[in-house]
Amino acid sequence: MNVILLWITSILIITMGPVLTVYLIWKIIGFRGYMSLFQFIEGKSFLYRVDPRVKILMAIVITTVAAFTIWWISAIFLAVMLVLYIFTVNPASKYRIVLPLTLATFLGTAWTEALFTNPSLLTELFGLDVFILPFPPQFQVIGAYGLSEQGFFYGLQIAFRASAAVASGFLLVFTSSPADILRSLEKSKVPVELGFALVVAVIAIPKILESAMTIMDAMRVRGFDFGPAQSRNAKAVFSKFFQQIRAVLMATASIIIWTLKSAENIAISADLRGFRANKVRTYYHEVAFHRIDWIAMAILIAVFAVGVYLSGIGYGPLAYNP
Amino acid sequence: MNHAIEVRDLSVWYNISGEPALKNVSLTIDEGEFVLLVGRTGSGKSTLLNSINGVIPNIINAKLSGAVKIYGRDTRSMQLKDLSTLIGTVYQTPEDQIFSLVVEDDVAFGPENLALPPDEIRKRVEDSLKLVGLADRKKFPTFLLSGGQKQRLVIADALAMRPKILILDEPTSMLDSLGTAEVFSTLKKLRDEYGMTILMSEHKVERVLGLVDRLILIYDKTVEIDRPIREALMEDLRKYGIEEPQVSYLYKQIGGTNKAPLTIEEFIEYEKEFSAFSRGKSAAITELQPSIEDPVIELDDVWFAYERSKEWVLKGMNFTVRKGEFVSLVGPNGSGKTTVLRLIAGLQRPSRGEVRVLGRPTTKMSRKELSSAVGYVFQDPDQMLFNTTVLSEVEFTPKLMGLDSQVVRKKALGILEEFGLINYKDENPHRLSVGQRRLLSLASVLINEPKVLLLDEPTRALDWETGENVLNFIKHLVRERGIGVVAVSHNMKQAADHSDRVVALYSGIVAAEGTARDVFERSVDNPSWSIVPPQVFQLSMALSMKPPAVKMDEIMPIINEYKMQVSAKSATSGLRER
Repeated sequence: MNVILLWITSILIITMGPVLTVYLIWKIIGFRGYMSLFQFIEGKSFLYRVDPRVKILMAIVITTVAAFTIWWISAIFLAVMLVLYIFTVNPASKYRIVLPLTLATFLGTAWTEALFTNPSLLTELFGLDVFILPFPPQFQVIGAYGLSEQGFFYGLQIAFRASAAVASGFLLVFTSSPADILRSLEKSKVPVELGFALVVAVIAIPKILESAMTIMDAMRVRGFDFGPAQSRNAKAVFSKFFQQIRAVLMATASIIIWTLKSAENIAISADLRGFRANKVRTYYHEVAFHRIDWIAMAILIAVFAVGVYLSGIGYGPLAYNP
Repeated sequence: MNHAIEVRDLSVWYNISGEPALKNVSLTIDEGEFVLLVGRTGSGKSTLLNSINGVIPNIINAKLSGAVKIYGRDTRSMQLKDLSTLIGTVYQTPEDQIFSLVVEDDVAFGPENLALPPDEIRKRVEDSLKLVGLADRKKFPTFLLSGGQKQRLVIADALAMRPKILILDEPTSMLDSLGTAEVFSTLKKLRDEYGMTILMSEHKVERVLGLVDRLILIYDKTVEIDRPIREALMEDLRKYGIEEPQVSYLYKQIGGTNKAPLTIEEFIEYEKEFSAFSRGKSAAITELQPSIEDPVIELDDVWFAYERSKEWVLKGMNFTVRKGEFVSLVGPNGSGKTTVLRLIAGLQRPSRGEVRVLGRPTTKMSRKELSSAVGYVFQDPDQMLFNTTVLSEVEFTPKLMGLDSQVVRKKALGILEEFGLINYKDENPHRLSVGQRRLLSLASVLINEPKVLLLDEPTRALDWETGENVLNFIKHLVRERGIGVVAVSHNMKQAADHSDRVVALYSGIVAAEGTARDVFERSVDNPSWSIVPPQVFQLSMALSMKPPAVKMDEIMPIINEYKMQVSAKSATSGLRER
């Protein structure tokens, strides 16, 4: 293959993964969907009654067991997690967000692992013999060797692990209010300042994104065109590219100023409501384990034990080779 | 007995070598009083409030001289956490004061910080939400509350600390008419039923007349007027850049010398003779003939829904704005006002129908063509300013359009001169005052000489005088350059005073269109439009004037006629006596 063509094809293949992931998130769930990720709505099912600490533990157990067991166990975890979303408030709206995000994680991980896994590992696992498309040798600096059938197969298996972990993480976000997560973290001896900063950050993200969209709109109405260059002339294309970089930098500066102003107001309001006035805080909602939490804990311990057993009898983390 | 608040000879410096932000302020406020603090933007109101609640110097670094005492205790001897249980504070922007995603969690935040027992926290959450009328929203997501509900939640947050004093710094400047009414009715309840001591800075003097006992005016960094509200309204507040309620202004114009009336009913009671004289008379109409100029904006059966949403925001909107016309767009939040502006600016595409600017569909115009034809000034000027100097801010659009840099510089300096910003040309835009930032956002748009100007609440957060200056300047441009203006407004007095036509939107359609008079008359039977006509209109309706007046100029001839009759009468009776 022509060297230039090989370079272009290789760059396209490498960048396609992340671009496709971002495109999927943006196109399918959109800005509003992304914002709704951070907007908790209370429900009544058992998922909402389980202590946030148990849900944090669940995410940890799933990630850990997935890491030391075979791929299909992660696939089962993923399936179970996705089924659990049925018990959330307005499950259709949750699926509209979780499915594309999980799919994006799946594709992004599979793509990355497929291209960036060391060929010696693939040879050891699957007996890699030949690349469908070997990348130019210069690409080895960033760890990309080429496109292979074995790489894809390996990528798919790893992707199940990442997707299961992501799906369990979103379950925590959708079914626990940030205030309850904060109370649980404090109860677990996490400093109150850190917990508060996390909660304020979660609340601030949609506001910052909204502000960013408004500032970009302001740039558009003042004549800035974020679309592609109108001409194919190289000078025009580069000029447009640098203009866009400049616009993004200007918008970023504006967002930072806006965020800092808002942060100062938030700090004043928090202090006026006695934040850090006492070393110990009390809690509006009782933060204690109930029967349902102990049952959930028992299930998690059982899952962990089964994972260890399966790993011991030959269903360990090594990739499956058909 | 100790005063609730006592300020003695207070001066504050943010910068030790610079001018003080407050000079020798002295005042006292007693328990149960509701005091209104007024003054132009930058007069020192916020500095005073922040010195009373302890934010200065505990959080904001500043040098203080003099004393601030709360129930006899010097605030300098108190910690902020102790002050926060005596004084609750509510600022302008509710979003910066809400830390939780669920209503009850937000109210619980303060009591949790005070380490109160859970039962006490629950009681305070219940009580506070009940007081502000949000008890049924306990489990509601905070981000789904309306502007007025959010600010009421912030008041509940403050009340949960069980303060004796409530301080509010322009609490309605970010709210529409309905939200403003919600907040004021909550404050009225707190005052009437719970005897809460309240100190509030606010530009909307007319809206709080029935609430406040006293008015304190800060001018040139110090207290200029401190009198009971009815006496204070007899002063010439306009001289200090403060809006006067129309009834008290009319009362003074007629020659009233006693305490000013606060309501239409009181005015009629105080001025029985004038009321009898003017009953059934005709206001002097000042409206111009309907424009027959070419249309610059046309909305032709426009429907709009956001992507993935099944709800229509606009449902077949039709209206036209002609060259040299100033049109006010009014209506409650969610009626589609901002969406209309975004469609005209080409930021959104209509789902159905057509939006035309200068005769061309916006969907067929390039970004450059749209930006040349349409200037759009956002609600928050800060979101339009992204350059490092005032000069580069103004030059941004013409440079993007590829104009010669020398021509651009000349135009930029000219427009900065015209807007009184020339001395700040090398300053960072974010260092200017709020009024100057508003003017800069306007200058940055007008330098491009658009044929259409879109304004989203152009006087929001500005004091009366600055707001009037901005609107007068725009009106001057409309007449001089023949620009077509669409201004979203919640201020009906401004809509009546400055616009040629008013379009009232409700639920995505044009509910009423015509002169301010036509729209106000129809709004009387449609309270859901959230239109509160100015006092002069309400008065002339109460006096059965046909047609009723919508601005002061229209009622002045009747007042002059009445005054002439009174002086003629007194001359006659004087002659008789002689």
